[in-house]
Amino acid sequence: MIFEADKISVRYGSHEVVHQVSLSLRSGEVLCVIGPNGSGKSSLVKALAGVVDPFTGRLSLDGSPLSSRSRKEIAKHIGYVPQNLHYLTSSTVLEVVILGRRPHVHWSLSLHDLQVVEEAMKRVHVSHLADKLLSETSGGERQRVFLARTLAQEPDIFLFDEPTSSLDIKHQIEVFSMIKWLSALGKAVLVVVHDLNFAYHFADRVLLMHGGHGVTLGKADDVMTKERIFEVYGVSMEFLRSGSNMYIFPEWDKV
Amino acid sequence: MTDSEHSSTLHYFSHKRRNLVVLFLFVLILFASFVYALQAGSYALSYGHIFDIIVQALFHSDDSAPLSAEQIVILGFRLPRIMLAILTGMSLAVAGCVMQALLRNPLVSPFTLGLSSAASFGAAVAIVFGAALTSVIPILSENAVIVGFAFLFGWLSVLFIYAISKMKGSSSVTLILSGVVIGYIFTAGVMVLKYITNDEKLREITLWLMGGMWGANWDAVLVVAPITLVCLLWLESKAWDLNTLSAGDDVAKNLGVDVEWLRFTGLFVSTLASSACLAFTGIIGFIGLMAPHIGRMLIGNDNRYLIPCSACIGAVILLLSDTVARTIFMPVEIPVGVIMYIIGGVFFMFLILRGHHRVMQ
Repeated sequence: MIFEADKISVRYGSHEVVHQVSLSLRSGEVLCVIGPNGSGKSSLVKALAGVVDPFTGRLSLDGSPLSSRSRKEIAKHIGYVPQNLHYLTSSTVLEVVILGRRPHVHWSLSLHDLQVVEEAMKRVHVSHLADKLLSETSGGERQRVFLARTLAQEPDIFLFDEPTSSLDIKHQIEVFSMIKWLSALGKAVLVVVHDLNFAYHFADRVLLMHGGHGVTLGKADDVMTKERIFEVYGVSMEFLRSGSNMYIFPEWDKV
Repeated sequence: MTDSEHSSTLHYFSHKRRNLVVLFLFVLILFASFVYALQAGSYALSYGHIFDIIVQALFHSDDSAPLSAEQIVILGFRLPRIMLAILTGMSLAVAGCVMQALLRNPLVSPFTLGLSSAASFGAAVAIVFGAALTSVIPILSENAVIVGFAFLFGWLSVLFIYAISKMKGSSSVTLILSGVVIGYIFTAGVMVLKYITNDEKLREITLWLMGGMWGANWDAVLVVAPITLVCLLWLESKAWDLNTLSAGDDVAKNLGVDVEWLRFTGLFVSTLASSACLAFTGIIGFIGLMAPHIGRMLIGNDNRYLIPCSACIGAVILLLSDTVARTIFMPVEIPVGVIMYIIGGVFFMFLILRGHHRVMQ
């Protein structure tokens, strides 16, 4: 399966926030989108997820344009975990996860639907929270609940918008482990992320964005160079290799 | 704990069973209220006698025979009034429930959005100028003009609220204040109409604004029933989509819902259902708020069950309130709108003091 975006632009009113960005995403691949605040990362993901209509450009799945498919059909292929998760506070965790089955059901949930929901909740360890209100869960639990909701949707493509933004380091690692697990299952995963270390370690490819443009797309080693990071972020970063690991951190004396 | 104790399938089925039991109980309560309301009144009749009258009217109707006093009381007065109360209660409750889901705001209802005031203004315009309109276009009946105008102005008020929520967001403060403003504007309009019209129409409008089942007759029921039932079925068919809206517009869109279209058509249909009823009953407040809140406390947020449950609760509340209104000071009636204000006020004081957060968040 291959998901392609060809010269996608996104506008809010007359303000263009994404300018002709192209990318492709294959089964089993993790693509991280990095870039400074306001570079158009979230808008790009929203366009890919069908949340906002691209002003120009074309989205296609296995060569056929998404515009030729129904909304429900697209929803069976593309799952999205947004950045803002402050809705649904008066819903229970089970009610939230069940929402993911919407593209697959007309009215009543079948036993198969419930098995998918159960499996999704088990997979991200939220089964014990089923009856709890979402407002009573912690930030990490809530993130897992939304991941379970997207898993229950059974898409081939997962789009995450800053999934680790409100999480401590343990939960950040947990989320990225899940992302790796999804790619191992053959799912295509696109993640908007701020932490360059996570992008470097978990991405098969990295898209660097700046000012609404896709600056470069490729392997982490090719995209995340000291010069390019300085050019885009305006910050000098140190790239320190130790064994097979790479550590990226600011050159504090130059900050 | 074992996995089976955590089984979401078991949780789901236990919730579903509980929801169906609650729904069934409310259908029973509604039926019991219906039977009680038929019997209650200054003209005393036994249940057996009432049953005979209805069975005879349904299966052994003889148009040539003159109606007895008992038949006139049951078939001519109480039954159409009860039917109108049930349909109005259902419409307002479901409209409130759906509007709350569409605008993701638990304090929204036909009453708080100003729809009731606007629809009543439309109906008052039809009362004052309807005769002139029906004389120009003879195929229009007086009832059709009243329903049409009530809907037109109700819809205008909802469009106004919709535009405000698009521009300024759908926070409680913005929506409720907009509803208050709309209420003032249309109340002023009604005042003007009262000032310029004759005594007969003035009395008609005044009764209207008190809110009551004064306008109940079979013609009204035959206009309201099909509109209400079709609207309720349509809204129920959108229950899944309404559920997804609770996760925010972005998630709902990603789940395949055409959010803008759902919001527009959902508001249109719920306005149509409630305006059609309000055209005959005048302003009836709080049902659109109370019924969905009680429903949520009992069965949660799943609109597949919440919509029918709210409909039954709304019907029971309005039917019992109307029965009290016409029997408490027999033979004098008090407007049911007065009772609704009292019950509604007490209910919301209870919610505020208890801080029921599943409902109020």
